[in-house]
Amino acid sequence: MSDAAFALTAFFMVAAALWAVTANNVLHAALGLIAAFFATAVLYLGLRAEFLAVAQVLVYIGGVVVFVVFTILLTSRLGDEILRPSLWRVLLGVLFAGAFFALGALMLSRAGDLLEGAGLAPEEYGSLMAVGNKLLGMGEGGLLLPFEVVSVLLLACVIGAIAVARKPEDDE
Amino acid sequence: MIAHGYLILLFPLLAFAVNGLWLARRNGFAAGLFSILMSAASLAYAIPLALEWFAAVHGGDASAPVEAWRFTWLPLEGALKVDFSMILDPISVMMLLVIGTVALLVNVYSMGYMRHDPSRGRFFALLSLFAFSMLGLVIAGNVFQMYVFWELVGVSSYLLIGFWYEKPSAVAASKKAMIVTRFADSFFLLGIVLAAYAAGSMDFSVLNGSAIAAMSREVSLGGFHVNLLFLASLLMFLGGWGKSAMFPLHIWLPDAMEGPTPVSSIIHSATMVVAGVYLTARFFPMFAAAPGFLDLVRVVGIFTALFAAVIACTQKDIKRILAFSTLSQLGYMMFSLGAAATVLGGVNTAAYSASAFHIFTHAFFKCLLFLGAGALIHHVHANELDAMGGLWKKLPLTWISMLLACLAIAGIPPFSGFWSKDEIILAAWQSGHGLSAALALFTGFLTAFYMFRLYFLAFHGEPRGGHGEGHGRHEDPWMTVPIVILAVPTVLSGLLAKDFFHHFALPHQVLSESPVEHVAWLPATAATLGILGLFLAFVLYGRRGADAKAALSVEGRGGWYRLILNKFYIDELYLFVARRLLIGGFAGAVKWVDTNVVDAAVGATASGTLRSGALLRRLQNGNLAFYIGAFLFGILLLRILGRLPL
Amino acid sequence: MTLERCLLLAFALFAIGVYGALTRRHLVGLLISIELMLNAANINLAAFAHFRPGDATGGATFALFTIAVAACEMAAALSIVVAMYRRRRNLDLDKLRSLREPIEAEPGAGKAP
Repeated sequence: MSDAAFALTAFFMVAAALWAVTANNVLHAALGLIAAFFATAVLYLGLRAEFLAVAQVLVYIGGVVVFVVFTILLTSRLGDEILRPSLWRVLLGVLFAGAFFALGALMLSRAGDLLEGAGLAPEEYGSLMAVGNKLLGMGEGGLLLPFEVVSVLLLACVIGAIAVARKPEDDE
Repeated sequence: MIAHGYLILLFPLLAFAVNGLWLARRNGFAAGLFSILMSAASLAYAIPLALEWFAAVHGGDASAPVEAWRFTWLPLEGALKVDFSMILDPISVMMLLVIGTVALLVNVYSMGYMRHDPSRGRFFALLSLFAFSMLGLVIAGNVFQMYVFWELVGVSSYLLIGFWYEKPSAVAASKKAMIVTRFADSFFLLGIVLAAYAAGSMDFSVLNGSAIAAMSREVSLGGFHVNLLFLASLLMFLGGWGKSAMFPLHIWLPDAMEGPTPVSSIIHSATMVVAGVYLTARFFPMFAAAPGFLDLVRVVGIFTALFAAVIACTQKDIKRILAFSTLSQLGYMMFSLGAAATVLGGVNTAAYSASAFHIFTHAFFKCLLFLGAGALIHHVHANELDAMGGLWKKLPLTWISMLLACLAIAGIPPFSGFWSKDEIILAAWQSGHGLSAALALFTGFLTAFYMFRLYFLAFHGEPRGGHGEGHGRHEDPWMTVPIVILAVPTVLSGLLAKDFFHHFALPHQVLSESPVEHVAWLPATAATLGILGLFLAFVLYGRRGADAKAALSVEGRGGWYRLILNKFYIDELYLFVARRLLIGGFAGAVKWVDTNVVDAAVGATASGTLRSGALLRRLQNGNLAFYIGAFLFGILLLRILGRLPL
Repeated sequence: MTLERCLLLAFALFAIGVYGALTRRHLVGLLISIELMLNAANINLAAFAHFRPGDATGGATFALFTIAVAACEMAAALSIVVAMYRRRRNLDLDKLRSLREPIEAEPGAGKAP
């Protein structure tokens, strides 16, 4: 990925993220989130993590954000008041955000040789084949057990979400 | 015989254990018999032991103490250890015999006196404990062992004075005895610690010997320079001061009359109060080496002797008269020990032996006097002389014995008291204390007066009410027999033991001896004064036509009479000090500090916790953004203040 | 494109997330901000996997787990949002404060009895 392409992607991503956190309408914010996730997927492609990019699009954009959008549609009505933050909270947010960014930048400036040396990862490291072998491998470095644990977690989560969101029988 | 000397102690201890744990609740009579048996065994062992010991040391150095046995009880720091041992020297062996005899006779007497008391089993158990404690005290070879038994004596006297605990006055009296003697004992304990620290040992042999030189130095105490030896001596002597009820710590002894009369008898003759004198005698070489210390002992002794004799002249309660006479006689003993310091700076050993001699004779006649008084009280069911009079017909044997005892304590020759008292005054004169000797003579006169006041008012004249049932003799053999037995040493002990004490009962480490001159006119003067006192009492109370009721009446008396009758208001002074100054002043201040500082601090802690909690609750404001912000802020803080890498 | 730039991008994304988490009053907006922060972490993982390969595939795969867990979290959180909305008809965080400590009258000054 060229520097220009990276700069473009990064710019797009930051702009989308800013939109996502500042938009008055939550639905717009969700759209901003989609855009930011999409830019991230592009970045992943640039980093040669193809499977990750695919998963990003499928799970985040196709799953999570759609879920978010549905929730927004379920819970908002026309004429809802626009929830604007007060000025001191904005200032506080800027302050904290700046502090964290400065902290990260500081860490980077001190990182030194951590950032140098060592070549790039092999071309095929993030391919479907490599990730599949890794994820379902049972030998050294194999991640089959975490994979299964995560699947159980997902199942539990689905059941929990249904249990919480289900309309109580005696309600309404 | 000597090696198993502990048996003398074990018999009364066994009686205490068996009676106290088992027999007392079952059968009071059997408990009494067992106590009598055990005290008889104790005495039966003590007599041959004493004979064997005297025979053993007869040839050699008579005043060298012999240890019967010794074992280490508590090994402390370095050479400092606490042993249990039994030392045998003239005074300890003499005390063994005296205590054994008195304990046995009092036990026998109590069989009659306590006949109708439902809890007499407990009484006999405690009496045995008392005898055991006192026996242990006199054989102690070191000051720590002595202190252990010293406190045992204190606690058994507390239990016995308060024996009739359903009577509030008895409870108050036992409390008073306990508090006053404990107050003095605390100084004794301080003295023990100080001496053990300075001398590195608690053994009498060391404290009275090599330690004297080590302790003769000045120490700085809060800016004052005091002689360490004097300080240690004073602290230890304060223990004896309270136990022997020397002025001004005498106030517990008259009140101790609330106990049953046999208890008074044993307290006043052989145990408890004699312990203080015994302590002083035991530490005699050390006290004598402390500069000016014996003068203090002498002044305290003679003052108490005179002071108590004056009070005794006005009292109406027969037991109180005897109590004050005990105070007076104890004052004599202390005075005698103090008078051993001659004006020239030497040590007059005759004064020491005179004191031991007086302990010996006093034990018998005072025991007899109390037992006789108990018989009188038992007969008329009252303590006051108001209810007595003309009792010689009803209690003839008691009457004769009491007469002999009164003659003995009044110092009429040839009865025992004359000899010992004469020795004391003579020794004081020889030591050069003319004024003290004169005061002692005057006290002797007063003694004769108040004792025969008691005698005439109780036994002669017209009967003045009381519950004297019917006519004829009413004497209980359980009570009369000990009284009559005691009359024998009352008469003879002075005459027979005079030489023994004069040559034998000497302090085992004589510091220096000064030549003494014998004064022939002194005994004659003492005897004359005694007879004068007797005669005065006869004129006032005993002659035909004397008005006993008027003699006992307080009406129309001058202020001085009331002053003396009320014991110079010493008790009231104590109450004033205790109530107003201690409870009102000091305790009030302490209470103020407690409420306003201690409690306030506790309250401030509680309310401070509540207030800070209330402040912290405000953090739980339910605002999610605030929580997130706090969380992020915490991360920043961790990064800045913590030691995370990079 | 270097590692530093990727990381800086991730930091920027994270800081934007922080800003959103602090300023959003809408419950769903808050969740969106949190997703942004998680995404920033994922970018970190992918960037290190690409530029500092030790076990490059492992790094990329680890991001997959993060995505899965984030999806889980989102599912649970959104179901709570729905339930909350049913109950309160409101998703304003400033009004959803039933978990706060009720501020009552000043407790009596604890004077010892």
